[in-house]
Amino acid sequence: MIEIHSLDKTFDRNGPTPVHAVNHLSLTFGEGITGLVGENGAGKSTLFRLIAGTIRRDEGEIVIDGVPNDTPEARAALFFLPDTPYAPARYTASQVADFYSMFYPLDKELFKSLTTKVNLPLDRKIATFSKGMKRQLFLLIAFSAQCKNLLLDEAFDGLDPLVMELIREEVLRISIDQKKTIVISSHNIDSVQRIADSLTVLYRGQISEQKKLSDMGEELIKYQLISAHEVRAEDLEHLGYRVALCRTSGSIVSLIVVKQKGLEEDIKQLYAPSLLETVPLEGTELVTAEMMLAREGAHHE
Amino acid sequence: MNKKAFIRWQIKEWLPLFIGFGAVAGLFYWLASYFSAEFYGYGYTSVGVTTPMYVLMALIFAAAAIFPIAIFSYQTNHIRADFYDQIPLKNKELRRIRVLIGIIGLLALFTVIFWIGVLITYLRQVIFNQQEYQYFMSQQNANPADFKPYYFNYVYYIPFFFVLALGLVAHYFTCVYLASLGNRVWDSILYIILGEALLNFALQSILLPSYVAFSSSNYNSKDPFTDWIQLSIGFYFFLKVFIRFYGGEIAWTEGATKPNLYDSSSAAAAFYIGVIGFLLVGAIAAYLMLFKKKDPAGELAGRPGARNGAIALIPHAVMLMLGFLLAAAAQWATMYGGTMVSLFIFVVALWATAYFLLLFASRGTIRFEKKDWIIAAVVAGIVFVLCLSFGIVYANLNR
Repeated sequence: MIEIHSLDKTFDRNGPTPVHAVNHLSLTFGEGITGLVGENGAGKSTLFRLIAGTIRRDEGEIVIDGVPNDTPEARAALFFLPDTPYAPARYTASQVADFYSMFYPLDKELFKSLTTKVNLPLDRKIATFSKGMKRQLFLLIAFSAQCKNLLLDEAFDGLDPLVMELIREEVLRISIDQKKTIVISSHNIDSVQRIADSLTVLYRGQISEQKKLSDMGEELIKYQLISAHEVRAEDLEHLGYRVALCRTSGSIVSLIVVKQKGLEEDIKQLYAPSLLETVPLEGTELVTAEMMLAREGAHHE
Repeated sequence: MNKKAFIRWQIKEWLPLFIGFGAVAGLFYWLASYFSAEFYGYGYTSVGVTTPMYVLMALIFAAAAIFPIAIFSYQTNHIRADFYDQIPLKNKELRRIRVLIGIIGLLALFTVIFWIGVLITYLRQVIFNQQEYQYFMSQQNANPADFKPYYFNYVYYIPFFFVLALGLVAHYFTCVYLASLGNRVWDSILYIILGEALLNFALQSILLPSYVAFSSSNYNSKDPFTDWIQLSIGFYFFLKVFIRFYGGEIAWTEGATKPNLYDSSSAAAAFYIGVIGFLLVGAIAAYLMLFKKKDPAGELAGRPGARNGAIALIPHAVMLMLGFLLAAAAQWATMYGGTMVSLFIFVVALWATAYFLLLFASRGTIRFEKKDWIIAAVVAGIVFVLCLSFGIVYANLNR
């Protein structure tokens, strides 16, 4: 379990352009899989690095399994996979695993079986690996590392669909079998949404939303409409509605809006649609809508 | 965390670096030992003592400055910093392991290179002696019993070895400390250069009174004080006095002039202050690096960060070097009468370094504003007046 209290971090604090990357953030990552999403620069990687202790916090406290994150005990209980992990370039995949086994208790049997599953050549130098192959290798090391807490930054970047499916299965398996705390950040929202138990949306270093995935989208509604009028989000916002998404595809307009009394009547009045129906939200849309609302909410503040 | 495995791995990682450097350094030193020859009267030729020692000294200096850069490679690259800052090993412990492996490796390397060099020196002398014997026997009425082969006082190589090793350790830790201040390789190099210059300035400013007493005397004006260009490296000064001493002891024979460093109390004082100062700085640096100092935050790795002034310092460093050259030129040109001029330039250069470094530390960049130029002019004026008064007093004392 990772507990974060009033975490604050500003880069270049005394410089001409300070960046408030994490803004008095408090949250807890419990057992299970949490997806961490947000736009570029939302503070996802900074949050991971602060938890892993690779950058220093200005304020606040981070506790991993009951101990402060900068202690060797906490570090031994955490495996952080950054977007560009380190390994000596001249090493083979097998040597990289040996290298990591000096620092973490690596289940070599598990590692070997996983590499066989994804057909990863262990005797090839990683300098000759593609970006996706490198990602596979480090993910498999992370899964075999037997650490109670995993932080996977940009976890699914560069993976092909077949491997991605296998990785997803593996994340789910270790999360259930080993009762791990796994936090995954990725721009591949579909993948995150398919495996995560809960989702945390970050916006400008603050939590915009933290919910169980099953509870997400309860306050949102999606309409599809056809109208002779131009459908603009501003019209509805002018009436006090919060529009998360307004997209036109051919003659059909999709609108995702925060539920509010009188919404449907107002749409009818504004656009006189020839077709107006509610449709279920897809996973990706749900997360995108939450991110849009986070941005919109921040603008309002 | 398997610490023993990590130590083994780290040694293995640096082995090519040690072997590569050792091979190059060894080659230079051994070739210098083999090819240097000195003529010592009596018709005997001897292997040179001081030339190989100076080569060795330069190599030690280079090694002690190069290896700390490798030690802190993990804090000059953000990918490595990400990794090393998250492993279940305290930063202090990681640094301690790397720093200790570095010095143990260097000492091992130095030991091998040094003693192989001594062996080469000895074997070369045997060859020289055989040649000299043949020449001696070719003379008319030569009596083999009259031939005295020339050999060094080899026993003096033992204390000389330990003194050099001590110098290597002190200099290594000083450089490790200086390198640890940088977040980029070039920053670390710059810190080492500036730190060395500052260390020497500090030592020299302590020794200034002795210098003034020396500068108008004869032989001692060059010993232990050499000209300022040579003295721009504290380590050089430290080892040079030992080389003069031990080199003299090793090669000393009845017919040769034995150098005496201690024929004046000022020279002895300068010697002791210099050596103690140099070792003290090394000891403090070692304590800080092994037990105290905190590494910079990982987010600064590979970035200029607060130390963005490193590049901006280069023109100032060049100016400083020019100041040095001017000081040395003034000293050479006027020889014994140039004390006041060179002292003035020296003190201004000393002040300028301290001022630049302070600016660098406080602002993170060096950009001279109007007030800085005014301060610079005022300080230069004060120093000039002080030097002038000092020169007048000094001239009166010597009248």
